[in-house]
Amino acid sequence: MKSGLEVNSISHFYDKHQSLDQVSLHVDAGSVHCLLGASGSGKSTLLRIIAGLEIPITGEIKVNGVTLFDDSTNKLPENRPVGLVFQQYALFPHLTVGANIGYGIRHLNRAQRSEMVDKYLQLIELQDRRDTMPHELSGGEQQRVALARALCCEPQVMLLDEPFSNLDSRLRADLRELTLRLLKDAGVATLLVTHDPQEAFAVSESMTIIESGKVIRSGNVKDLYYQPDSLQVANIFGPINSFTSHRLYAAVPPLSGEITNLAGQTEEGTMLLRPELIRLRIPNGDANATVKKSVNEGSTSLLLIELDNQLDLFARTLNPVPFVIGDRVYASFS
Amino acid sequence: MRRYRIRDGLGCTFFNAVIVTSLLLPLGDVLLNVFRDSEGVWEHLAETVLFRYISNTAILALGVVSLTVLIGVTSAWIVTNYEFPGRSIVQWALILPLAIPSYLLAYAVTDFFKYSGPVQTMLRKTFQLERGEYWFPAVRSLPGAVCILSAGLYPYVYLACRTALFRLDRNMIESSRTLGAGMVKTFFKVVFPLVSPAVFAAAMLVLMETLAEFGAVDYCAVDTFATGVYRTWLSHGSLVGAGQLSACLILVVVSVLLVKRLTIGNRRVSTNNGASVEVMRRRLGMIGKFLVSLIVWFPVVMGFIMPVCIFVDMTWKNGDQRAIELLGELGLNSIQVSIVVATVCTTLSFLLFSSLRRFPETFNRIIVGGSGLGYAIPGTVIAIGCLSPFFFLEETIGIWFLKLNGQDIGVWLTGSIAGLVFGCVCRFAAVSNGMVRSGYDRIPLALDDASLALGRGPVKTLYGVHLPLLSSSILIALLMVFVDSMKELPITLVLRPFNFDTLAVRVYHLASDERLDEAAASALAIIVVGLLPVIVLSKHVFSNAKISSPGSLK
Repeated sequence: MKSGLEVNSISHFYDKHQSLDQVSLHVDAGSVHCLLGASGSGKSTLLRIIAGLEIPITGEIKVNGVTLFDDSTNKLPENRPVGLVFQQYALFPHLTVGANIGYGIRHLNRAQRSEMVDKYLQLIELQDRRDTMPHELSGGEQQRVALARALCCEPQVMLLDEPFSNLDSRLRADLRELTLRLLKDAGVATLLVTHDPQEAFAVSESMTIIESGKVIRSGNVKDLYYQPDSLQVANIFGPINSFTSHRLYAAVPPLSGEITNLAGQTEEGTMLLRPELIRLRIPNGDANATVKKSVNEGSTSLLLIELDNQLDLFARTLNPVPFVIGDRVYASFS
Repeated sequence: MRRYRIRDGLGCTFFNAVIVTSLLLPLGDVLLNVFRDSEGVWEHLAETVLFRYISNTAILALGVVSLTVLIGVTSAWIVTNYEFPGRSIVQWALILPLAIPSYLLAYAVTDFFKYSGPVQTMLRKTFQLERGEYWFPAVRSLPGAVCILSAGLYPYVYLACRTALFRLDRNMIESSRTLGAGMVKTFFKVVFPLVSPAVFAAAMLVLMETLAEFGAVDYCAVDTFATGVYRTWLSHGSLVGAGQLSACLILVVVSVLLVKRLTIGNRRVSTNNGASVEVMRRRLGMIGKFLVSLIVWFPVVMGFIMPVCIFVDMTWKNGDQRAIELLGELGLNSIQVSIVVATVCTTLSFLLFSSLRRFPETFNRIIVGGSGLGYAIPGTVIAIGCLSPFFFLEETIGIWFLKLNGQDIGVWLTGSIAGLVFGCVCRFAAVSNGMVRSGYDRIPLALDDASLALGRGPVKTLYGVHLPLLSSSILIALLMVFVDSMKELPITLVLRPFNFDTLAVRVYHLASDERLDEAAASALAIIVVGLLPVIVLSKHVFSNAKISSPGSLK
């Protein structure tokens, strides 16, 4: 028996359009797994299926060994130990913050319930907002309430559907950290949907990449970044240099010798290089490339350079960049 | 999207089907009459009055639609674009005629313009004229009926046009201007296309109301289908003949619905994503102000102020003890029926739409949609359509009861208000449906999902989330149906039990007997009640700009 959330070969149709095709994934209890994909790729549908709000054609869903869905079982959403936090929060507008948080608590008397609500209000640091109505809260506060509301039911699995995407970047990082700490402490298996690869890096060790309803890669985050098995997967994490090994050999002479070793591994096929692996410096009469474009990314800049043999390369360097467009540079591998 | 297994929804769908089928029973019965033998009545009608019915109905419909569009669009355009004293009052007052049922308007207008009425008396005094020395248009005529109905129905067009103008996205007009289109081009390319569907839809509504109109047309002695149906039943005593006439009317109504469907379909008129346009209103000179005020106040005076004054005056002069006693008794009858109808309608709408919310299957959708058809069917037709199913039910169940425990339950349906309530529910279910549906539309589906994911089942979600969020929609639905039932004339006239009069019926009978004075108090009572939803409606419409929905729920 595996602990945590197990999803096996889920297929689902919207009318005649197949939205999920044989999707499987596994999330350990107490860990965070990211579901990464463009909008419309079927991420949210998968979450809704796990929560029981949508019914797939085939497949199997288990939580800590208990079957929630297969050919013969279908637990109703209200009976699944699964929490769901929406992108739009979905707080009940007619209930106070306290009542929203306490909405899902069952089998407790009034006093215990109130105590529980207080506990979660404290966790999300909104103790003094118990009697506030949701629309009086800021976006970040609303999201914290939505989170506390889902946690309050003490679920074994938590599904987060791009819960941070409506927040500004600083708030997002803080709230993300708080959320995941609470979830890990509670030993909950968490599935986080996002379309932002940076977010996926920041929070989880493992992830599944989904496109047009199909899993195209699943595994450890570092493996996916440094050893993508396709250009498609590699492209998800931003611009990448790709060329056939044939062209790379042609590109070798102006670069330092280390490349031979690397390139030697793939005689045929495509070679991929992350932009940060290219190092640029001011030339000492040994210039081998020209800067064509420069995009400031904040702490780093992404530069497009043209090698003297007409090969274009992306390179990422720390700011401030000492070059402007048109400058001659020396490029090598780091 | 499928949120359930189909078999889970079967029970609900079946329940809905039973309810909606019974609501459509009168319609079905009317249509069945086409195949029944009218024993010569139909042939007689076809030879004598049928052509008159057709031409009168057509002229009436055409006239009323043109006139209401003219009045409605002009006044909406003026209050939106021109600044003049009293603008904020008149933009609200323009919808007041909605509070007055057309038959009351007909009584008042006729009284106002009749030989001994204030207008003609004043003319005679001013110009020293005697009877027969001058010509005055007859109010109780086809043109008169066109004017009276237009004065009562133009607010539908006005409201639609005003709301559409009001909700136009300022950004759209501004983008058009920055893209180089002048004000004129912007009007024809952007404003007009966005507003015209709303006006067209309102004109269709006016058309339906005109086809269904009974009281006013009957009083003006214009023979249309709607009055013909009643007369054929009452004077020829032929239910089948009346049914066959009704079937013709339904044919017309269905064609109107089809035209509407084919031309504008379910297209939303305009959605306002940005700031409401409060355009810079043009200031006018003295003459301009005067002319504009005259144009916008005229329909208000004719459609509301004048009739109210007439009824107040009559009540003041003729109000006696007996009238007040009767008012209490009849008012109680009206209120009793209306409360029951409102409760039944709203409960049904709530049940239907909550089940549709949970099982949005196409079949279920069609069924629930069918429950609103009654509103398109004229009251007289519904009433006639109810009769034979009622007689059949009464007899069958009566015999059954007699056999079972030897008890004679008599005319339990037509002899009680049950039949009347059923008829009204058939017709007004659409009203509460509309309110409940728009209430549901404003509740994001995510709230249902959140509630279910938090471990509350469908029933708990229903009263924990839906009911509290729908409460205002439900209250408005109750109010609207209540008032519509208070005003309803033809259904009450046909289906009420013996010796059971309501305010509307009493006013109708007294007015027919030229004893309008005695009915004035009842008429006023109907108008006062009718004002309630108008006030609610106006708040709803004219405060839209200020309501901002909480960001998280968009």
